[in-house]
Amino acid sequence: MITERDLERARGAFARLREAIGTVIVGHDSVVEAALIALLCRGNVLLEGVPGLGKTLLVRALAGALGLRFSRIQFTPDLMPADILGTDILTEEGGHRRFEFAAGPIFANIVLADEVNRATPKTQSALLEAMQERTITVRGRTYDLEEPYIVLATQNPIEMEGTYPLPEAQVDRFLLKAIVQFPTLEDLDRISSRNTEAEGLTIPQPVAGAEDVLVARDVVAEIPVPEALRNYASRLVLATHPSSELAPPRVRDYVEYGASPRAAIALIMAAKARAFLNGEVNVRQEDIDSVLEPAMIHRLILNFRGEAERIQIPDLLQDVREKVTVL
Amino acid sequence: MPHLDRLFEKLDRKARRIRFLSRFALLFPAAAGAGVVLALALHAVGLSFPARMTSGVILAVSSFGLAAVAASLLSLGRIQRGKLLFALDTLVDQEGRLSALYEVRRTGSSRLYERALAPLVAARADRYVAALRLSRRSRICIVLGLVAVVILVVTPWIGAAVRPAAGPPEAGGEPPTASSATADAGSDRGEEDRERPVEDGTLPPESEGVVLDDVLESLRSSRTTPDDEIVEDLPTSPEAVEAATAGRPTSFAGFLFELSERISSAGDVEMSEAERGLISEILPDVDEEIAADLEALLSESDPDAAKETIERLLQSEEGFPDVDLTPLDSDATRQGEETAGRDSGEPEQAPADESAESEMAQGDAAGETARDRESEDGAYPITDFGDTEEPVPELVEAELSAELGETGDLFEYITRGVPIEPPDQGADETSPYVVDFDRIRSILDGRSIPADAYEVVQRYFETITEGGP
Repeated sequence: MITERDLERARGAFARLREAIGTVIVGHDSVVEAALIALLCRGNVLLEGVPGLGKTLLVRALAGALGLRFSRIQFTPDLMPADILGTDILTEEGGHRRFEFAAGPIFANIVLADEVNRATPKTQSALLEAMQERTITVRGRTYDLEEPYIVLATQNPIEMEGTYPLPEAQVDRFLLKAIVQFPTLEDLDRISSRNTEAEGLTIPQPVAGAEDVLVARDVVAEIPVPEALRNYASRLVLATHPSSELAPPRVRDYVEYGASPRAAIALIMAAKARAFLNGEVNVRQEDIDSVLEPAMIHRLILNFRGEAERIQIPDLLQDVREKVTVL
Repeated sequence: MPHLDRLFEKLDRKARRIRFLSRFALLFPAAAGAGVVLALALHAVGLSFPARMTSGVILAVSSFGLAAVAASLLSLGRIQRGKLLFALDTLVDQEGRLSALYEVRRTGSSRLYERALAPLVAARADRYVAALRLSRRSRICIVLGLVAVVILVVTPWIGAAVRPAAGPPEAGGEPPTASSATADAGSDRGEEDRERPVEDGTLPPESEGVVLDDVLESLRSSRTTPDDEIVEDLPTSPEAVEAATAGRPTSFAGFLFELSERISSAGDVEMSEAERGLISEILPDVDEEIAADLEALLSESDPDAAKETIERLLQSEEGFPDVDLTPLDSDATRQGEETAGRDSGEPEQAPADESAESEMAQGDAAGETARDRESEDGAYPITDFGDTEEPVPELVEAELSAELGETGDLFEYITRGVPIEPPDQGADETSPYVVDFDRIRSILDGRSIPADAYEVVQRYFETITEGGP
């Protein structure tokens, strides 16, 4: 049972964490928030943005501020599953040969899967078990991954040639998808200033630990959600299905498949985490609305007409938000 | 935390009341409106309520009770407390705290958040209770329902509609005519008289009422006068006639008569500009002798001489031409202020010939005298104002017959302007009055009423007088 002390501890840890990341990352508040939400919800984040926007730096700053083990995997077309999971290797000790498991880079607390869509589906699917079950199975043996564990995958939206789009089943396993926007002029000035003057950019020192994250996860899990808002979240998910009577006209016209039940869970969990990060003691409608887009944007699949007309999924989600109200 | 339990229970009770009132607010105006429609429908098909006067009240109470019972039945279900509390959170800008607290207490999921939320909610308990109130739409609906009830209870035409079908012709929802409006405004006695037969249980046979209704309906339907043409109705009550004629002359002879009276009483020969203008206007149209007298009158300063001149003018056999007495209206209005208040629906001005008709049409001695002097072309001569008797004769207000159908007592219809012959002297009291239809025809001629309506009008008068020409 959590106590007021746990609550204060968790709040303090994440306040320090945000502050520490803020010393390295300029802007990108929504992306930082998405990463922290995923960390609090035992989720994973898909970061989408062009190269050079600070995606890798964000992950490194997060790992540094938490003092957790960090690994980075650059996905390429010839990357094999064993390259990320690890494999049994033949060792010889005292005249006896035996297989010994050599853990791959996926065995860390914070994993950056850079340009995940460049690897083959076979390699991509190697991430599935790690992301969902927090375990890895190699040659019949299952290894637990150390908590807290989070995968932050990136993909480049403009270089699509020679890439393998993530299969729907894998995309659905990301709690949130954050779009990394190009910085504003003001942010760009601050980025260049921080990287070119004095000592340059330094990864922050640990301000919180794994234990803090685990306590915070318990605190977040108990945040109450009013019945009306839980119902609201469910109806938001239903409204993304073209066959639903809640669906707005454009969803009916342009969406092939709506969000899965996992989306409803993601919506509620992410709203809880957001309420916690904002110092609230209950989930508000504002929290659900705020996480609607990152929680749903990667779960809607456009039909041919939607693709042909280049319909933007955020616009469809805006329609859904306007159509569905709290009852 | 018992105070939270009490708060939830209090909100629950109030929510039930509000839910009942909301349902009631929707049903009440509908039921009251249905009552009005029912009353009109029953009246239209000729059915009637057993009780009169209280019919509107019965309908109003019935609709109220029906709405209350139905609202109670519709409010029996469980209150969806989660949604209710979230709505209250929104109203008091608390972003789901009360509903979250309720959820935590209901599921027992977190003592930590229960302790965190309780003080936040308790501090605003009164605001939560106050926020739970009837919506504006519901309040408007209830007001509408009350208005409908008031209409049922007090509005005369609805009241008339729910009364037994043998009511007066005006009760059918037709817009009141000027004459009926005048009668209504003039006296409540007419209303009482119309109701009396029902109260006394002496309602005349249905057939009689139907006959008169048919005649009246024919009369209405034969009306071809354009809506924008103003046809002044005859006065329909003694008071109205008195108010119409008092205070101003209705002909040039009347003007001279009044002038003579004024000189006698005040000794003042001075005339207003309007009066002088009137005399000057008539000068070219009279013969030389009268013109000389009129000019003498204009310049006369001796009251006695002026009176002599006026008497000479009034005694001359020649009638005066028609003149426009409008300039004298203002003076006349001032003079007639005392009587004008008696009947506000009375026309302010009537043509001189109509006034003459009106006077000639009385069934009294003055009227008889006037008829004797009827000229060959059918026009009625001006009343001889040289007579020392009262120029406005008494009206006939005798109750002509006790059984005249649903129209009530006949004297309401026989007023100045309706040429009816009284029964002969010494005749039986129940002898009917007789309508002189030749005179009615001359009145109709003067009012541009189409010839095909004459028969209908004749039947009307025959019916109400139980007689004929």
